[in-house]
Amino acid sequence: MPRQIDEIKAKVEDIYGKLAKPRQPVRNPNEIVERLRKEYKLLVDEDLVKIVVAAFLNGRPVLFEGPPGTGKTEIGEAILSLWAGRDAFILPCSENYDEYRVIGDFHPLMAMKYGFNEKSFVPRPLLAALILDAGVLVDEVRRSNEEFQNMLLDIIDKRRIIVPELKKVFRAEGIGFQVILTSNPEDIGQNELSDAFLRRVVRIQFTYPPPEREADIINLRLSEGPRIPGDLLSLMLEAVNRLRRTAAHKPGPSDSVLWATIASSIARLRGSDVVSLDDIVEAARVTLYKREEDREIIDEVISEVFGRR
Amino acid sequence: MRSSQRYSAEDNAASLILLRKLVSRLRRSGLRVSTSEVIDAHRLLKTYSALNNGSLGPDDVIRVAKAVFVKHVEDEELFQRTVEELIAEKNAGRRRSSLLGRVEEDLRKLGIRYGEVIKSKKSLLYSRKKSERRELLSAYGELRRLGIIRRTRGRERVVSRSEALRIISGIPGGSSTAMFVEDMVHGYIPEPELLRDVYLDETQLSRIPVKNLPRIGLNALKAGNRVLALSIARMLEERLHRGEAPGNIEEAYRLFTETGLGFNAKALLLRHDPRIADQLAREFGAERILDFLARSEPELLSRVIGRLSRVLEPIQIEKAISYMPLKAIAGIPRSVSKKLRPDARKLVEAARSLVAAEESIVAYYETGNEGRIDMAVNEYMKAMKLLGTLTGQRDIHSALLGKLRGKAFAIGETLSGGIRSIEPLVRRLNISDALRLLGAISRNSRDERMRRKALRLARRLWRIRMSRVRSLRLVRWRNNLRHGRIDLRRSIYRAISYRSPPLSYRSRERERGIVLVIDRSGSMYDYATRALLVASALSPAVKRIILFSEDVEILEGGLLRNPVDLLLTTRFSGYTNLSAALRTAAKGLPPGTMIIISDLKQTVNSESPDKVALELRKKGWRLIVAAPQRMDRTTAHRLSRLGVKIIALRRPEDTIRFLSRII
Repeated sequence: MPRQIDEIKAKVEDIYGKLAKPRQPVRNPNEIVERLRKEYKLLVDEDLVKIVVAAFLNGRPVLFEGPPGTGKTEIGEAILSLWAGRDAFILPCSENYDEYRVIGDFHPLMAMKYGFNEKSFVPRPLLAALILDAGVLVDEVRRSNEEFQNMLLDIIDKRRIIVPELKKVFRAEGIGFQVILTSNPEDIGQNELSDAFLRRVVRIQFTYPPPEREADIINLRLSEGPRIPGDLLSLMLEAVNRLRRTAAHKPGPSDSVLWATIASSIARLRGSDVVSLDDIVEAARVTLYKREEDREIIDEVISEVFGRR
Repeated sequence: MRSSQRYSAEDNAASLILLRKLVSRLRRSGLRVSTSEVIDAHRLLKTYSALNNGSLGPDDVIRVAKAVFVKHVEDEELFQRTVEELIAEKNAGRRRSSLLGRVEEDLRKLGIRYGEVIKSKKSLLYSRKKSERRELLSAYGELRRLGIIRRTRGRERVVSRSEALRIISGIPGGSSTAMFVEDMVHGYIPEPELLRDVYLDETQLSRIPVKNLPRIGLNALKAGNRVLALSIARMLEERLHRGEAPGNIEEAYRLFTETGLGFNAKALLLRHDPRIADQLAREFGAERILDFLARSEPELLSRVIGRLSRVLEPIQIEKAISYMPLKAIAGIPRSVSKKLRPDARKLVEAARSLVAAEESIVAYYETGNEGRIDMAVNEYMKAMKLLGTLTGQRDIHSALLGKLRGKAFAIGETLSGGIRSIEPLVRRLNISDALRLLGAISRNSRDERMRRKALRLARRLWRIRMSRVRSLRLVRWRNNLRHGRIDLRRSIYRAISYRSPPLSYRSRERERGIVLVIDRSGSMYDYATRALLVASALSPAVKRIILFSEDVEILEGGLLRNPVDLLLTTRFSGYTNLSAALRTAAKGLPPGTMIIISDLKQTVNSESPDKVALELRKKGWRLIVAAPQRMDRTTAHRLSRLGVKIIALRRPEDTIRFLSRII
């Protein structure tokens, strides 16, 4: 019954097609690294991209694990978008996520009127991604429940989605449909991933980058606007690294990028081309204070590193 | 999608041999690597090499293997170490011969031979030109570190060639730093001259015993190696933060000062020796110390206030009192409270009397000594008199006054109820103190009714605290068809799609099947009672509880839900036999998660716990140890190298938070 499948496809195209416009897919690791750098301003190791691509080619999902602020979600989304040539779909997980919310469900009133068929069916992101051949980023997968994880594995493994109510099987047609999962194992209030799940994924650990690399990341992000002189930047990174060792809220590279960006904006408001020490200290106040109990530690680190309060 | 495509072993044979070696080694060291994962790794490697223009180096193999085999953060170190061992073994032979060459080069530079006695170090090292001196010093340091130059009976001597060969062949990994670190891990403190050109990374530093770090850091400073000293000081700060105890407080303080570390590093030392407060106050001001302690360790405040009484203003002390726990207030020395203003002094006096009254009542129940009652009444009357004169208008003390009045009320109820109504008192105690008291009554009291009442009260208290623990827990839902609350959304779907049964339920519990191993040696009482409380509150998720000292007791089924009777009759004492407990815990169960609440001090001489832990890890168990901060760090370190997660609990209360999160 090809006509009915087309109906769902048309629906997906209608709902999600505008969000994920097709482009030329990028499948070469070197080119992906280059495009990530140029278009997304993300500095990613070529080796990492190679493993991700190798996993994609073998039909394996990739799990990004690491502390918050290390760019897991952003990098994952960017790689998926480049790979599929469409913007990736994002599923932010929570405890109550189930197949109805990711594959699709039936509009209750429509179902009463027309019955359980294509007409009353509302496709959801995972099915849409499969049909549109786009990537899916499952964010914070540890927050989801075990049933959801198992369902996800089955779909990734077999590259097909069964909708029993429609008596239909949807199969992925290209290799654009890929899944990247992210998780932060140290976060509280979340589930464990089962061994069966972990056995099937390719896991990539994200860590805080070494200072030189973090400096590169910040410079890449700050390509326009007032620049931060090299010595001040290395002081900032020292402060950040010390906070990672002692503070309860550990600033990730995303926090240091935010810090640098705000310092640079303050300098621009001042009408200067170069960021000064005062700008950085002022920006630290708004970006680094995340929790009350860290306040004193942050003050101390800043006064020790920059020599002022 | 390529599942039909079998792996073919033509290309890159060397890297596949490496992968195979790595797998067998990982399996031996306790990481579970399944066959399907090995196949995955092979396939991935093949694709990877294609992406890499057909070439594949050892680094690539390791990177891919890590991505496929390492599944948990705690396995990462295990993997890293196994890889390092593998590589070290490969390089060791090559390095050893080059090391021998270097040793002979050093000897030639210094102008000495094997077996020679060094008569004067001065003429050996300092007689030459300045430009050569640095090189000579580093050559000398290297030879000393390796043990090629030895100091015996005040003289230094070069060993014979055969002895040197023996030394070099025994060096792990064939590198002198590795051996040097190994010596320090086992407690060796090198002299300053040996630390001149040494740089150690964080993993190496983290293995050196914390009690030796201050001395090694100071020695590094003496040798002019500021970089090493600074990284040691940072490591010391980090490990203090984690709750480890430094050996020599003064040395640690000096190391912090000389490497320029500030208040937060130094204040960590207060926990281990409040005497350091004097020095800290001189450097940073007393107010800052009080602030720090009020936030992190209010129990310490009374001791520190005692020490700082000379420099503290009365108003500062009064402010500190307002957030101290009652027991700590009662511990403030009289010489200090004398200086306070009348209102504050009265508060301190009242706290002291109430704490004394409570202690007397508890002592009465434990010993049956009637004289204690009179003492309690006496102290109670004194406290009431003091409290009666206070109005509580001064805002900084009104909270404290409320706390004192509540306590006084509870004690008054107990005393006036003909000594039978211990309930108000018990309710205000924390769970382990309350159980200790009720246990003492149920064992010692001569009054039959009293004993029964204690038991009843204990059960009730247990139920109340259990419900509090349950409410702490995050809600997790699980759909099923039999019991729980109705899941409206699903039920509607089922009803309109004519499925039977139409109703779908969801329940809160998750049957995780955790095994809990709890130490019942005397020092662990506070932690063990709380762990049991959480376990029984969340009993559907717990499969088995093991209580162990030198013998092992298994709790399963109904006992899991209500262990309070058992708790009242169990004596918390005796030796610790962790390895036997671990064995029993795993017996007859499929691998899962095991949480161990223990200080890891194995006092029974049987097989070592890490051997058992390794066996369990190989079978697929996940082990998590929650230990108080005074745990046995060497065992903890050995276990953590096997991929066991170690969590330090700062206070007994943390047990509840930690467990209710994880179960």
